[in-house]
Amino acid sequence: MNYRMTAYILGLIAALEGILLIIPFVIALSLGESTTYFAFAITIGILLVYAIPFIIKKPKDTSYRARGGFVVVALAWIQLSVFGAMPFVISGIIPNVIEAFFESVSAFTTTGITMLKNPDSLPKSLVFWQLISQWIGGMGVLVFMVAIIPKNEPASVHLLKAETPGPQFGKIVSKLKFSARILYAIYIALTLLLVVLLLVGGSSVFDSFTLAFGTASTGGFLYKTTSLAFYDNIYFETIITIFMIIFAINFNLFYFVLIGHLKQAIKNEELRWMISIIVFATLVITIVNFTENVYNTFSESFRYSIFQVVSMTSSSGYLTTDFSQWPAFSQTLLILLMFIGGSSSSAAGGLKVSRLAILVKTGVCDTKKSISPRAVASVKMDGRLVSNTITASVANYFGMYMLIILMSWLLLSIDSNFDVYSNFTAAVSTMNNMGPAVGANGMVHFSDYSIFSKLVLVANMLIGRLEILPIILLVNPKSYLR
Amino acid sequence: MNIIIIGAGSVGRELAHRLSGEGHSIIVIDNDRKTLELAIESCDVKGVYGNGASSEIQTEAGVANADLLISCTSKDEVNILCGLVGKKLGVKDTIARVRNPEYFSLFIGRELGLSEMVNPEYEVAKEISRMLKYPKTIKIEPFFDGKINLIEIKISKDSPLADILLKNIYAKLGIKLLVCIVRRGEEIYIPSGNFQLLIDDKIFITADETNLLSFLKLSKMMKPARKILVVGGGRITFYLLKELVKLRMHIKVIEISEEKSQALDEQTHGVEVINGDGTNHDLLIEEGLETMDAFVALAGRDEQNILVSLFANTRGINKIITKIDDVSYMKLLESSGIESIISTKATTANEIIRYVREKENSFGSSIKKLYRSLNNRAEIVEFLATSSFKAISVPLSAVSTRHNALVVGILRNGNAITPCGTDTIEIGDNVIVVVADEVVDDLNDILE
Repeated sequence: MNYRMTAYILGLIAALEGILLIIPFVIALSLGESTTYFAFAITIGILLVYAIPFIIKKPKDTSYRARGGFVVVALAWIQLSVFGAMPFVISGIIPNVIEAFFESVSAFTTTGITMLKNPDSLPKSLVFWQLISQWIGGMGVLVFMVAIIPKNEPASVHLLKAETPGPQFGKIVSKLKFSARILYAIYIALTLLLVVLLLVGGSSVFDSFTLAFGTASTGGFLYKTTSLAFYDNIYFETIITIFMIIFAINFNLFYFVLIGHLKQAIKNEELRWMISIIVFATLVITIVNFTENVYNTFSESFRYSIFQVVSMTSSSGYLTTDFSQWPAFSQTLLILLMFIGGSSSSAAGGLKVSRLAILVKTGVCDTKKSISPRAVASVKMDGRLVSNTITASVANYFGMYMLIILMSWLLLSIDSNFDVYSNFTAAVSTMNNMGPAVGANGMVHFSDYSIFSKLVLVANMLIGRLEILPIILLVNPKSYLR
Repeated sequence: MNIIIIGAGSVGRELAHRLSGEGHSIIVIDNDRKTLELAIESCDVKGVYGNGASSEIQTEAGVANADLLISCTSKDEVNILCGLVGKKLGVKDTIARVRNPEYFSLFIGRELGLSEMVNPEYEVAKEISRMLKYPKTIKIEPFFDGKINLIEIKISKDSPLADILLKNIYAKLGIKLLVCIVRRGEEIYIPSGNFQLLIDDKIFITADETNLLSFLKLSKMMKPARKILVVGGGRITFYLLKELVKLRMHIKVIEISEEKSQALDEQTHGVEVINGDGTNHDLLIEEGLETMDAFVALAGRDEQNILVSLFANTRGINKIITKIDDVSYMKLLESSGIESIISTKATTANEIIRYVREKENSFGSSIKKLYRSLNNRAEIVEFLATSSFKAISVPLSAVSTRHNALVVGILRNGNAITPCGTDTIEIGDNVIVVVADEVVDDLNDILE
C-alpha cells in the first residue's frame, strides 16, 4: 500500500470537509446561534491543522493498487464521520461521542436515523450540516474530490470503483474526471430543480433545501418527529415521490438522455425491473391496506402506500404515516423492498436492483442447465452477456450481505431493550441505509439502543454504503502489505 | 482529442497509457475481456468490448465524434478494415498498423481514404542501421533531417569525458559539446555546468557538425561496423539489408526456415544467407561470430534474442543490438551489459504518438515534433517559437529555465545552432528542448 498517497488523499478529504463546514458556520453566524457557530469554527480549525501536513507536499509516487483504493475509501468515510460528529460534541447537543459519531455516520451514509429524542429542536445550522453531509454522501465524497481536483490521476479509478455502488463500475466518458463532473452536474441540477419545485409549492427556503438534500441523497433526514407527515401536503408528497424514484435511477442513464439517447435509457433493464417492482408493490399494498380497512377510501390507501413503497425502494426512509399499524403483509413487503433498494450507480442503498436481476437470472439459467445438462444458457443484461466472474461476484456479495445482516441481528439481540422483530428491521434498515425500523410496539427509537448496539449499527451503515468490501479490506492485515 | 484505439495489446495499452496521460480522451476497443480490463485498470480510459471492425461496436464507441482512430491489432487486414469502417462512419483521421509490404500501396495516393500507416519494422530497421554506422554510440536521434544529431553514448574508462565537470569540457578538449541528458542507474538528470560525469553514465550529447566529428574522432567512435552477423531473417532483416547494402558492409544472415532464407537471398544482393539455427552456439562460432564487429539479434521470440545476445556478449562482441517486443525485458537486459536494445512495440507507439502530436498542431499547440526516449522518462520536443514566447531575443544565459528543461538545438533559416549562453531564440526559430519527467506542450512551459 502506498501510505504517503493514502495520507495525501485523506488530507484532501479533510480539507474538503473543512470547506463544506463553512456553509453551516455562516448559517449559524447569521442566525445568531451562539452554541453552534463556535463549534463549527473549532471543527474547521482542527480539520485545517490536521489536513495541512498531509497535503502540503504532493507525493512523488501517486500509484496505488485496487486494494489500496478500497482501504483509502473506507478510511476516508470513517474520517469524514469522525470530524462530522465534532460540532455535535463541541456544542454539547449530543455530548456522548459514540452517539454523535452515529449521528454523523447516519448522515454520510444517507441512512437518516437520528439519536435525538426531540429532533425538532436541533439548531438549523446543524440540521443543514447533516443535510450537506447526506447530500455529499449520496453521490460519493471521493467522486466529488475527483471532480474538483484539477489534475488527473489514473489511479483514481480504484477509488471510484470502491465508492460507487453496484456490481459493475462504468465510466460515462473516457476521462474519469469528466465522468465525475458529469455525475455531479446532473446531481446538482436535479437537486436544484427539486428545490425550485418545493419553493413553488410554498415551502420556506430553508425547508426546500433540507427536503431537497434529503431526497436527492435518498437519505431522508428531516429532524421532524413525525417525518414528512409533518407537512401533510399532497403536492410535496407527489413531488418527493417522483424525485425519490429519479434519484434511485442509475445516473449514467441521465447522461444518455442528455446526449439524446433517450431510447437506450428507457430500454435499460435495471430501470424496467425497478419500475416494475415499484408498480407491483404499490398495487398489492394499496389493495391490502384498503381491504384490511386501514384507510377508508382507495385513493387514500394509494396515497400512503405509493409513498411508503417508493421511500423504501429508494432507501430514503421518509414516512408519511406510521406503517407499523399496517397489516403484517404490507409491513413484510416493505421490509423486502428495503433489501432490494435502488439501482446501481445511483444515490440509493440496498442490494441494488441489478444484483437482484442477475441473481434471479443466474437461478433461472442454472435451473435450465440442471433440467437438460447440455443446454446452453447464459445470463444477459441489456442484451449483453454477463460474464461468469460477475455472476459469481454478485452471488458472493449476496451471501456476505445476508450473513452480515444476520450476524448484526444476533449482536443487536444482546440488547434486551427491543423485541426480535425490531432488532431484525433495525439490522436490515441500517445495512440498506434506509432509516426507520419497526417493531412489535411501533417505530423503533434508535437512541434507546445500548452503546454496543449503536456501534453495531454504525458498522452496518458503513458496510452497507460502501458495499462490504472496503470495510473488510480495512480490517484485513494483508491490505497493508507493500 | 477524442481518440479510439482498437486493439488493447501491448502497443494499444502503451498508446492508451501515454495518450491519456497527455490529456486525450481515449476509448479502447478489444474483443478480449481480460486484455480490455487490464487497459481500463492501468490507465484512465473507457473500454468497449467487441470486434473493432464492426460498425455497431465503432458506433457504440462514438466513432462519429472521434478525431482519430488508431487500429493496432495484430492483424494487418483487420487494421485496414477498422480504418475503412471508421472512415465510413465519419472519423476525421485514421492510423493503421500495417506490416506486410504488399499492402503498402493501399496507402499511396490515399485511394482508400486511409490517412496514415505505421510500419514499425521499417522504422526499427532504420534505427538499427543508424546504430551500426557509429557502433560505439548507443543511439542516434537525428533532428532537422540530420542537421542536429542527439547521440547517446556510454562513458567508458578511456573516454575523454570520464570524471570531467561539464563546464570544463571546452577548456580540456577544445570541443564545444552540449550534454543534454545524463542517465545514472535509475536516475535521470538534466545537468548544469557543475555536473560531474562519471564512468558508466549514459549521456545524450549534441554539437554542431564539426565539433561532433572531432569529438567522435577523439573518442574513436568514427569507425563504422564492417562485418555484421544477423540472426533471424524476418521483415526487419529485409528492410535492414536494404539500408545496409548502401553502406558496403559485409553482412551474414542466419535464418532457420529454408523458405525464408531462399526468399531473402533472392530479394537482396551482396548478402550471405546461412540456413540454420541461429540460436545454436556452435553454428554461430562456426560462422565467425568472434570475428564480427557487430551482432544483431532479430529472431522471432524475445527469449531467443536475449539468450543469443548474452552469448555474443560473452564472446566479446563490441556492438550487440537486440530486438525485443516486451518492453519489460529492457531493464533486465540493460543490467546485464547489453545497451542497444530496440523494441518494435515501443517504436510503433512512438511513431503513432509522434503523429498524434503533429496532428495536434492544427488544434493550436506549438509542438512540431516529439521524440521520446529513456523509458518515457525524458522527452525531446521540437517547438516553433512564436511571438507568444516570453523570452524572445533574450540571451539564453539570462533566461531562467526550469531545472529539468534544457534548450539543445535551434534551427534558424536552415542553419543548425548548438546553443550556448550568448545565443537567443527568435521568432520563427525551430527549437529543440529536452524535458525530464514532465510533459510540456508549449515553449513557455520550460520557463521558470
